Amino acid sequence: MIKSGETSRLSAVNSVLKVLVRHANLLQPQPFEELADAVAEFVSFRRFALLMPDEPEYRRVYEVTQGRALPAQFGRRVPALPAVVQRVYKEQLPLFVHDAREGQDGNRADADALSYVVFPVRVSDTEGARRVIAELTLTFHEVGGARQVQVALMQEVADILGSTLERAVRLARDRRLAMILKTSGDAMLAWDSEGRVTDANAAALVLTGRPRGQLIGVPIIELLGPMADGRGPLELAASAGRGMSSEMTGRVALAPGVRLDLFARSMSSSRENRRIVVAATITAMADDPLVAAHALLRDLTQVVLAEQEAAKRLTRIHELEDQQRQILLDKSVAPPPVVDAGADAGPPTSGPGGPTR
Amino acid sequence: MTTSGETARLSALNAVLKVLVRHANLLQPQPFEELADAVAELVSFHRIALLVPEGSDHRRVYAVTRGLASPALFGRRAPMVPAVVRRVYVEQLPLFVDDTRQGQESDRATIDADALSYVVFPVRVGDTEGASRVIAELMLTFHEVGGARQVPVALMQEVADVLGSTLERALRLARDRRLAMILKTSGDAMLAWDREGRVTDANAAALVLTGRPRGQLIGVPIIELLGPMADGRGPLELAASAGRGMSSEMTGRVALAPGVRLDLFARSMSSSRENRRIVVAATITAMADDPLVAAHALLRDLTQVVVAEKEAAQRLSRIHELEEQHRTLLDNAPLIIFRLDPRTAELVYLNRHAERLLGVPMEEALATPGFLRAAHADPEGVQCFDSAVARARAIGDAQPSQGEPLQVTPSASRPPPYEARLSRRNDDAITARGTIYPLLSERGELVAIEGLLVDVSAEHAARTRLIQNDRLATLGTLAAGVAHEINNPAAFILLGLDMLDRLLKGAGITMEPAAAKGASELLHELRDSIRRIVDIARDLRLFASSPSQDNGRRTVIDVNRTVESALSLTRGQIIERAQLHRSLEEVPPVLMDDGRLAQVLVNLLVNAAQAIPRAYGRDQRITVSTRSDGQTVEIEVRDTGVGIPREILSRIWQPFFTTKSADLGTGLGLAISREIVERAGGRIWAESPLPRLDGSDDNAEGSTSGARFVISLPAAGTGESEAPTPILSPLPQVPATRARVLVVEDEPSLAKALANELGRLHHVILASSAAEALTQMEGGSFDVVLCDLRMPGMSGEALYTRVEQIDQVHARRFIFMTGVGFGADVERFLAAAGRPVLEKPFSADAALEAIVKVVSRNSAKP
Repeated sequence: MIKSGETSRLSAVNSVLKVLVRHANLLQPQPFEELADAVAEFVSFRRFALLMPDEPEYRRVYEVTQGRALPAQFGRRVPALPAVVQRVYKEQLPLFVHDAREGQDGNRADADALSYVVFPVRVSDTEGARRVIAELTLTFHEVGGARQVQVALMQEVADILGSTLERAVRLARDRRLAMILKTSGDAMLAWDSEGRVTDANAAALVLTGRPRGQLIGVPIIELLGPMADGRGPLELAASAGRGMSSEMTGRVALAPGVRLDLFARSMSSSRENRRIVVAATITAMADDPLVAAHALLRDLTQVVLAEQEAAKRLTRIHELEDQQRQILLDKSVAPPPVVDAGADAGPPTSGPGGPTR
Repeated sequence: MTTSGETARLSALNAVLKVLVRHANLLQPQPFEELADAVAELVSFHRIALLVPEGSDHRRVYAVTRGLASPALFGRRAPMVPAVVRRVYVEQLPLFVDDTRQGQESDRATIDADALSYVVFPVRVGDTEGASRVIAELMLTFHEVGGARQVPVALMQEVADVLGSTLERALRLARDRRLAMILKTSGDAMLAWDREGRVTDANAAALVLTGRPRGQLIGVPIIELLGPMADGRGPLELAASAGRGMSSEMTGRVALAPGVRLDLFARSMSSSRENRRIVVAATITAMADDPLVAAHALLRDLTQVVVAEKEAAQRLSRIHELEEQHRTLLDNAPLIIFRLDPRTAELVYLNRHAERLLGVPMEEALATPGFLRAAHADPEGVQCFDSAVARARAIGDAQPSQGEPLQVTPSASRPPPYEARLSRRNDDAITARGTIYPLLSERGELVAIEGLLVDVSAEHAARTRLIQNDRLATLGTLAAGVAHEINNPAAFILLGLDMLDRLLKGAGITMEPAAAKGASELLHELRDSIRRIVDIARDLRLFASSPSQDNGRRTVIDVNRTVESALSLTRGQIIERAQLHRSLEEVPPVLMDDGRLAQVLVNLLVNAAQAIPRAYGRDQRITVSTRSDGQTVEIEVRDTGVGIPREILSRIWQPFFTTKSADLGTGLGLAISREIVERAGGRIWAESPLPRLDGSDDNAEGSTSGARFVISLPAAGTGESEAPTPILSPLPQVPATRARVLVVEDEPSLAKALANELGRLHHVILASSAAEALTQMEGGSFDVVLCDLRMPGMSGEALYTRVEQIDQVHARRFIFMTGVGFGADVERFLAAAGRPVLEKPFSADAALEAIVKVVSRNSAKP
């Protein structure tokens, strides 16, 4: 079938769009290579590069060279070129260099870039104004090779990229942060508006003693007990989310002294329930159909033990001080009260008032 | 397909794709509405819904109705429909329902209750091997019967498949977004850096923790913010070790052990902007496939933890310090502290003082079954101990059971203390007061039995002595009365014996020499017997007088001369049992009641002699030695006799305690000796057994040998024993003429005897009462008035006072006689009067000598 111009354009754009649909974040090697392949369908370049500002004087370079493996430092930092800044970022127009050897930008005059073109990657704000957030560069082996580029089509592709690029940066960050939380030592439990668990990270599976299949769908109130004032996770999430707009999320971090009880299954064969004291940070989600709130739970078992130990030590100090006072003031006074003391409290191990119990 | 048809398809697909490109996550209301708009360009439906399985029985429903706002429960849960599962999920084919009224399917009610027709497309994804699986269902509903038939099946399936390529990712991105949001707002700080080690990202908590705004944080080398661990590895090295061996699909993570920490160098939030060091716990995550971020560090501020740890360490240190003090206190407290196992009543703890006091090593005591019980010397003590332990157990058993509040043993219900003698290894038993009580846990369980044994030997001895002193004072008072009754007749007997002796030696009496000798010896023995009676009465009176009463009669005593006198008196008893050795150094005099020191020494020498059985042979010895350091004078009497058993050594000073037969002693000798010495400001003690003369130390249990008694007296002129200047008496002068002597004595026999004896040299007139004496004195003058102090009616003291008021010359001629202890009032009277005193019984010579002195003194005065 002979394609019309419009059909060709749509076909090319659709190819690019399909890559972008498949990959939320272009700024990774494989998606970027797929994008380069899609663009190569309608323009024969040597190198395809996306350069993103990293502070005013630098650019992060993501690039693919036809027929070569990706450079070791995909996303390396290079200085910004003043001519590009002027033409592309300020004037928001493509910059064509037909013969790089003429010295306009000598640093790009390598064997892969005797000619090149730089397109502004633009985004529109809500009022229709445009700004440039990156530059898309195609280089060519041949002097004048940039002339073959269909300017309107490539600018359309650049603008499509613009619509995804900021989001891609954000998504890449989300992915990294999410990965940290997925592998965090703190447990994460998410539940929907009905109060059923919809998500949990690996630490939550360990802490609750349940496999994922047995955790998803469980009412959160079966897992997280209420505080001393009777407010449970649902009430805490509601108070966190109160007054939120659809653009917001609300978060309530309980004070360090305020704790919840997590009812966990024992990991032992008896499968008995056990109670774990946790510190909770509860985050309400305003605009998420699947998740009404998250709880980030920190196992306080060690903290509670340390606090108990500290309290015991303090009690032991008071007990010893009392006993000494009694010994000094009255040798035949009442016996010291018996208080459990930590094993670290040391000798005497069996003396009166000593930690024998 | 025509070019225009293909263009339309591409255009429609382009519209859908652009929606999907704009929105990474379709499963939100606005993107889903945009998708619906794009699809509406292709087909005129009533409602579009995406249904995503959740578990095996449920689906999440995301739906938009044309012309309506999004339903409140966008993303609600609905049950899975079996027919859809079969057709769409298993067969992977579209399900068309042209007329829902035929009841083929009812599940559309959950999507669109008004729908008369609908179609469900499988939303598929392809795997790497070309196979596809269904991950969701795309449903379009229509108001018209057969409305689903208008749908371009191929195009809609293509749209559904495009959706499939984004849906799983959309779900993942939605989750990432939520999790990222949690971390962005986390209290833990997050810092990310690139392969060059420059910070590329930070969350809000990191800005707070580092004290820098974002603009000043991005681009900063991470090693300027995070210091290395103790082993020198910094964040870059840790990230490298986390990322080692990662494939491009992986991320690596290294969480530092809780004890391993990094220092975060932060700027102070104060105006000074000085740097401060914050200790953080770090979890470092290496990223394998991220061009912008090489690693993240999740940092938890440990400031509070470090403070708490310091506090805990300080508390532990304080506990150790207090326990050390406690142990020292317990070990050095002057009492035995012990703990018993509540079940066996065996010792589980004993303080060090017990070791010192009982003379048994602590380890041995703890290993000896029933040690503490057996340490009680008497059966009564053992019984007290058993009873106290039983009561402590009973109190423990009576405490509230588990769950009830702790009752720390109320003092009222604690077993009462008891007193018992405790035996000691190689030493005398002590008297101890024991208190035994239960120790209860917070749950009220009896966990131990504790007790204290306080050495109250001194208190016990003092108490015993107080009782004895009281008894002796009574005895002394009684003795004073008895002495008065004894001394008058004794005085008469002595004077009578003098007369008898003189008579027998008189010119008119002729006796066989043997008979004369026998009579003389008999008279001598009679005098000794009378004196012994009088001495016993006099000694007993000592207990009735206060020490201060002795002071007035103290004189400067030459110790060595007194020793010699005592030796001469006891030589006879000593030489038949032992050799006598003396080692008398030159020593200063002491200040004592005249005669008392000799009395003590005689007592000790006689005891020493009696401690050596005659059968011991001639090599036994008694040694008397004196020595002085200038301040004190020590007199030691040492013997090689049988010694004193340890168990009675402390009791030999008790009055009436004696190991001798009744005919050899009353048990008062040592008690009186100690009284005399202590009243003189000195000390007396005994030691036994003594090292053998050959140098061996015979301390074998049950064997004793020898004893030594030491008297230590303050030298005269030192300390309290300031010596008065001795008053030299003028030499007695025999009066040239017979003196007129008035004898005032209510005891007729004594008065008569005195008259006879004194009448040989003087003119004696008798008065049987003070009143009669006054009459006599009114009738004429007397050179001497020999007056009894204690008389019925007017006493001698009252008579003197009366005479002194009338005629002071006569008053200076008084000599007092007394047969009892003076008593405080009499002491004061005699001191004030300054008149001579004759203590009954006295000899005729003593009376005559006193008369001569008074006559001479008065005649010498103008």
